[in-house]
Amino acid sequence: MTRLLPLGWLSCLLLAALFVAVRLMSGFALEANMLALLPNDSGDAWVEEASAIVANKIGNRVVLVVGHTGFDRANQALQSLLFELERQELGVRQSQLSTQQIESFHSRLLASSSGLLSRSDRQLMQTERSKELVQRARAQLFSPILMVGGGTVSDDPLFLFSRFLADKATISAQKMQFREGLLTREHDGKHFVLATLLLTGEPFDQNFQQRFSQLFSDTRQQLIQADSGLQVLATGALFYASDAVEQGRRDSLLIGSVSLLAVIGLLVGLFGSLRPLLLSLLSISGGLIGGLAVILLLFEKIHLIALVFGAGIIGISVDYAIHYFSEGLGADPVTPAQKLNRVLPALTLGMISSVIGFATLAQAPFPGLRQIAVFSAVGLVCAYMTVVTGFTWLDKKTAYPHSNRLLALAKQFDRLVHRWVGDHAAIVLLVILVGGGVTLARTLVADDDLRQQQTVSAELKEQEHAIRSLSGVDNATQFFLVSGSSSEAVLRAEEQLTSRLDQLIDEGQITGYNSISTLVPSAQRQAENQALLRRHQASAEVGQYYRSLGLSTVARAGPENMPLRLNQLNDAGGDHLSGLLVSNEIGRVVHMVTLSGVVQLKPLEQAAIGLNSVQLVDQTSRWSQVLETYRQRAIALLMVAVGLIWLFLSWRYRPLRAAIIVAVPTAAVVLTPLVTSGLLGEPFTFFSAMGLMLVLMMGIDFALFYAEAPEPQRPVSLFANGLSAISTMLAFGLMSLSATYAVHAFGITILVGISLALLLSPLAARRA
Amino acid sequence: MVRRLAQFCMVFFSLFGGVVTAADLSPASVEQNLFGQFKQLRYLTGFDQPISSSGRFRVGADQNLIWHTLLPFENHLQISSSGITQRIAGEQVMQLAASKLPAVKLFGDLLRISLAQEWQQLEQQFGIQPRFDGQNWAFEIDSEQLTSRFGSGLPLEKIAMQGGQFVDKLILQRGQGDYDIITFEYQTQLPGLSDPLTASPDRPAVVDPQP
Repeated sequence: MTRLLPLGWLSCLLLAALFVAVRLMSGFALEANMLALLPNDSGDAWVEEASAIVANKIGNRVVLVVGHTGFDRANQALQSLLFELERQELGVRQSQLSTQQIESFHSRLLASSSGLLSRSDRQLMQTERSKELVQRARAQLFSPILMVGGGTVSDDPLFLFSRFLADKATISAQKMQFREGLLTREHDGKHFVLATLLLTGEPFDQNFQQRFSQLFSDTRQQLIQADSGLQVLATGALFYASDAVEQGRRDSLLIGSVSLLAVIGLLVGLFGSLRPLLLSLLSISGGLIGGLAVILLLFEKIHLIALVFGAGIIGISVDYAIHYFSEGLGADPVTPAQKLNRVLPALTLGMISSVIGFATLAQAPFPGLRQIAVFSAVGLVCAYMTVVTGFTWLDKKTAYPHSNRLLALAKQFDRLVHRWVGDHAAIVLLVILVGGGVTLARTLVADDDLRQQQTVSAELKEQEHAIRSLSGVDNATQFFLVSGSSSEAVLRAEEQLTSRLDQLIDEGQITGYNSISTLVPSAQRQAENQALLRRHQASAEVGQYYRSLGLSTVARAGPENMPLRLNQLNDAGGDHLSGLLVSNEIGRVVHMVTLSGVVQLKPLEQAAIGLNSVQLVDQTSRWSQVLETYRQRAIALLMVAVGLIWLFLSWRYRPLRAAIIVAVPTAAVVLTPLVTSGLLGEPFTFFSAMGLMLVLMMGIDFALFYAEAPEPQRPVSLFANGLSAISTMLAFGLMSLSATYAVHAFGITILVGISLALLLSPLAARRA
Repeated sequence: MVRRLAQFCMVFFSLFGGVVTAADLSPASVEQNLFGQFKQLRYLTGFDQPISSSGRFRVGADQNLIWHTLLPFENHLQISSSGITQRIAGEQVMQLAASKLPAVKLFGDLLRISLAQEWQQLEQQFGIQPRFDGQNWAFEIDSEQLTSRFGSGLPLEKIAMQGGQFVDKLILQRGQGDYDIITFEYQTQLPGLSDPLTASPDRPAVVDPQP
């Protein structure tokens, strides 16, 4: 029977290990998108849906720019790059406009040109300024270079159509020009050629990322080796995600390895035997395998943050083993069963308290956090089970006499604390620390700006900036969504919005925007334009102008043109408009209006006021708001966890005693942000709040081991707590060096919090 | 049809012009500037008569070109390496980046190359050399050469220039029977920026346009 339980448990762990190995070998999906940590439950459903479509469209795109002093060389290099990527089926280039498409697109627009007016021409017509209209036409007609092709002036002598197209181009703030089917720009003596590649795989899929990045990097290197004058720039979510995965992998490897080495060094050094080390590794492995198996079973993808956290869990699950072996320190022999019996109450209470805490955390509707909570809770239960069932069977040694000096040091510290801090003083001190801490912590300013919490590679950022600056179009995270029951309703709403955006351009708040209605006005607007044109063509000034040119009739610009429809343009090669058409279902049409050169958000918010079908989407501030909400919620959950743990402990202790035990880690929790934010200047973020959750769990363990220990055993508890704290701080202290901001914030919080929890843990001791 | 499409491309895509700032159009330096008069005849399909205009121009040592149409009405155009600005009756009606208007930039470049007789640059850019007849020179840039240099976006099919000490004539052909003939007269090279024609009583202020 005594062997049945450990063998049964080890069999379970072996099965779990087998399952993990199979899943890892078959390749599991690693989620690098930080936003996947967060829930999708804010705002209107259609905005969420449309935003997701937009994010997907943007995410599945890679923009490539190749520069060279010769256009042909730049173009050839770009084509080679695209050819290689397409040949490996990693992407499909966004269709370049063929001659037939341009012809069809142009013919369609021209056929409806009487309804298409530039903003300024429309304004001139609305204010009855035919004279100025004619003046502008003359200016174009007499310019040294006529900017229209042969045979078109007699069709449009007022140059309304060419001004309409030029206006559209000006509004969009696009700096590139069209050459041989590609967007190009001559800048600083170089020709830059741009192409967009639509990915055939998921940009956040690790395997796809690796294949793409490898091929792209190899091809780029080959091209540059062949011609050092080439400049190859690229941007897209895939590159950022790939960089984040690589960064996470490096962090995870570093933190995991150093943490493991530190724990090995500590255990071998302090216990003078390999046995505690091997059994600790067994409990750690048990925790990791169990946790990993369960999240692989429950979740399709493992979030990067959960994986990094997994490296940190080593520092926590080793505590149980440390406490177990610390009971055997000293010259007197202690049997494995005696050691287990001494630590079992605190071990069990600590484990249950932690599970209560993580269960509270799992209530937060964050997919990534649920993973962390499940991983941690299951990992701790498995580590606990390994210690409880396996250690007495595998540990045969009865004494580890090599750490007497440290034990003596712990004894002195324990004596010192109890000489100076009596029972009442401990209560008063805890009340002051918790009360004062809470009061001061309320004055701290949190920082939930998502931009501060994502570490972006400087090289990638530079390339993105260069592409934006060359193209003139921001890949801004701010855009408008316009919805309606029909295409016509959406176009009308868009026109209301864009008239306000025109004002913002004049005020310098934005440099431009892109909308469907600037190219395809609503039928209502086209009818108005036709009426305006009809009226002005009948005016004396226009009539005189036509006569001075010897023209009696004007064919193309006549009001008999057919109105232009969006679907006609799409069929006629208006491919670039498809990016702005978010949804075109019956009863729900959604268009996007993109923005360039946004200075401030406030004027954009104001531009949407009163327009019911218009919604400003600011992805960054939207997620920052979500982070803020959930930081607040995490703090609330932390308080709930404190209450629940107190209730649980009140079942074993008197309520006041339970309150003292709970107050020790609570004091550490409230004092930590005062140190990290107040003294070290670290911003208090959602991830800091998550770090506090772990401080509470470990702090409860420290307090419980101290509280459960009879007076002679207290130095042993203090020694074990110190050992646990050092191993945890080594693991999480390294996390504070992580380049991933979230991991760094988490690490620094734990580094400070665990130190405080260790220092305060003697206050939880039972006094005479 | 291809040219027609090219025109569309030119207008629709090439005019994706960033707006230049006033600072880009910095004042000219006081070196050799060329002043003169022009007469432009624009032949357009569907029009019985050519569209005629005339005025003054200045090609500055600072690379700026001022094209000041006076008849049949005033129209002031300034082309610099960075931008093009148009004013009617003193009021600015257009301001665009010149790099987005390759045809306009080409116009200015050709005038400068021809006036400075930097034929090496002409060869570098278009792979052609002028024909010489004594002091006179002439060259043509055909559709193929234009396309290889600028792609298919230019609204031009052929350019022909001829001159001697200065530029005498420029022919711009746009296809579909449309073309311009610009003739240059009364050209003077001076270091200052003042147009001598405005102050000279023995020369006409402007050339009368052909009716």
